[in-house]
Amino acid sequence: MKVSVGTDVVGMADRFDASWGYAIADHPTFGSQIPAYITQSFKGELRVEALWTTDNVFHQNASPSGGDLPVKTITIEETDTTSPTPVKKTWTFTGRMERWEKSGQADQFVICRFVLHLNAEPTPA
Amino acid sequence: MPKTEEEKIAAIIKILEKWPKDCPNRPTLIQVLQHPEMLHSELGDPGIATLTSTLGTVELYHIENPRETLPLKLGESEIFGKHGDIFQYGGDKSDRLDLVGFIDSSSEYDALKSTLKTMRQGQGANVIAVTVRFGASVYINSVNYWIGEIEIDPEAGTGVFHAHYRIPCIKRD
Repeated sequence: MKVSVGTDVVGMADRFDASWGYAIADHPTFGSQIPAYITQSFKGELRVEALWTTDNVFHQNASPSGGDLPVKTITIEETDTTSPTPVKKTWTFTGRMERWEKSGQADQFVICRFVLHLNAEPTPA
Repeated sequence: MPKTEEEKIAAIIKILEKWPKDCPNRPTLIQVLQHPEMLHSELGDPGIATLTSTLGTVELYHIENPRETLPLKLGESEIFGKHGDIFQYGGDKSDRLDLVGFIDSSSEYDALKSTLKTMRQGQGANVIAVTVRFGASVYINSVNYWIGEIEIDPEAGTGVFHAHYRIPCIKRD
């Protein structure tokens, strides 16, 4: 697994979780126990957890520029190692980095986590 | 009324075919067989409410709240110089019915914006009759109403033709 923010590779990415979808609202109607279902707006996020290394600069993406958080593209390259020939698939996520976390402990490693608030459905290629 | 199972299924299919083809919440046959109350009627009208006049018919498929008000006019007047001598009067006013619901397709939007408006323009000479059904029972059965100011209120974050509406009706007495 290889995670990149723009062209910068997150050197020690350990884990990611992505979720996205369109909410469905149930609208009950008079006299019927089966509601109508209304598709609502898109919502999604990508969470990445990585070891913090001193050359990382990703925290800068959680800072607004001109009042707006910049839209970042994150690609996640997966390799299916069980295939006879390793198959690679790259997922592309776009959105704004809405939360940044960094935690550490004395004599231990430092971990960073960030959440990308998606602005579109991710696409695999 | 359909009597045999065969007749019932034929009637259900006939009602389903009257639903707008572009309605994403058009019931499927299997849904209706499991929940027959979804069709509101076995007699042929597909909507929860039907508004009809000689100028057209509008079916309302997604009514959430057919709210009724039974208004009354009450008043009193005091006579100057006569303490405690109050004249009170009162009387029923025409019943109100607010049809509150939503549309989820282009054809339902057109029915409100075009057909119902045309019916309203001619409602002086062409009386609009309103029927409202609770499940399969008709509890407001072809009662004549004046149609008032129609509101269409689209909802943020959903498709173009998802909008709440309110159709105020005043009974013709």
